Amino acid sequence: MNDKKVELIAGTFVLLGLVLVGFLAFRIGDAHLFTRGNYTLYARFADVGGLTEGSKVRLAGVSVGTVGSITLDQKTYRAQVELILRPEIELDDDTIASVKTNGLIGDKFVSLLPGGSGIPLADGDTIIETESAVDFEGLVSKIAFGGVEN
Amino acid sequence: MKTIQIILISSFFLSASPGFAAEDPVGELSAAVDSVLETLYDKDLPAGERATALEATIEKNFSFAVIARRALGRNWGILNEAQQEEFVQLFTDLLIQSYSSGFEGGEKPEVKWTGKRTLKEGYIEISSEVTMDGSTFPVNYRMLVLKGNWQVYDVLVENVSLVGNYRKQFISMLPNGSPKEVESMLDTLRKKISEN
Repeated sequence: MNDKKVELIAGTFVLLGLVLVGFLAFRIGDAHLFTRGNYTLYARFADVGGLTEGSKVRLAGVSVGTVGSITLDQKTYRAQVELILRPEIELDDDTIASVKTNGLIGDKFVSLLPGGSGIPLADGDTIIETESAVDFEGLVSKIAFGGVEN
Repeated sequence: MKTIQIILISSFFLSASPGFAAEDPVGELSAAVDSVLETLYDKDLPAGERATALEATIEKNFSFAVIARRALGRNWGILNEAQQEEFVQLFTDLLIQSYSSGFEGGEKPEVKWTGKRTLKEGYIEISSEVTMDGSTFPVNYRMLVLKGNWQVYDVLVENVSLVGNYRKQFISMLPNGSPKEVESMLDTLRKKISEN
């Protein structure tokens, strides 16, 4: 009888621990398990340069969403990025999405520069105005080594 | 005589009709870029006349009204009609001035047209590679159909957007979007243009 009670308590603790670990994993992984009403936009980039699922989407430096799946378009070999945005963020179709870096070697994130065309983007639409990640190594090597003829 | 006149007039309208002009955007753009480069590197052209010549060359294929509006982004709506009109003019002058100077001397760059892709219906991107002073970099033109013609509304050099670059600057010049800030932004543009 006593043994059973101990086992029950131990079991409860283990279960509680597992639930907490699961919750923490979601929090740290930035998964939005309990948030509803977000909407999705897509953006195609020639190069996402290390952007990953769960990277931040920022507008005026403020986090307004996260990057969902990143897939490769088999036809064009461009990266198709899913942006999961908070419902109150309304964007026009001339919004520019750019892949940026925190500092020179920091994490990658998607920065949004809102437009003013008056034509709103709806759930599932694609942002066509995009700037790919700037290849810093490429630029530095161009400056440092110059061209073939110079 | 009358027949010739009719043929001449109708051929003029035909060349300006939507379907006709939109057939070959790459060819049209490459011809426009060629003539821009001719103007920029024309050593016989006095520096003062370069900007005027340039404006005449590119106004057919570049929509400055759209570029200016997109550069302002959300802030376009806070300008009144008169200010919007003045802004388009000032911004056009600013762009033409900045691009007509700084090209004196040196070799004329070589342009290689590398492709065209559709962004969505009525919107395309034409890509090119420019070789200048020994280094090659990508220059992409984004175009839309406006009044039956393909018109450039953004240029990306090394993946950096011209519209985006100016939009960021205008956002920081108009943090609150107050009339005072609008006036001071227009004033900055006026001063910048009259300096040159």
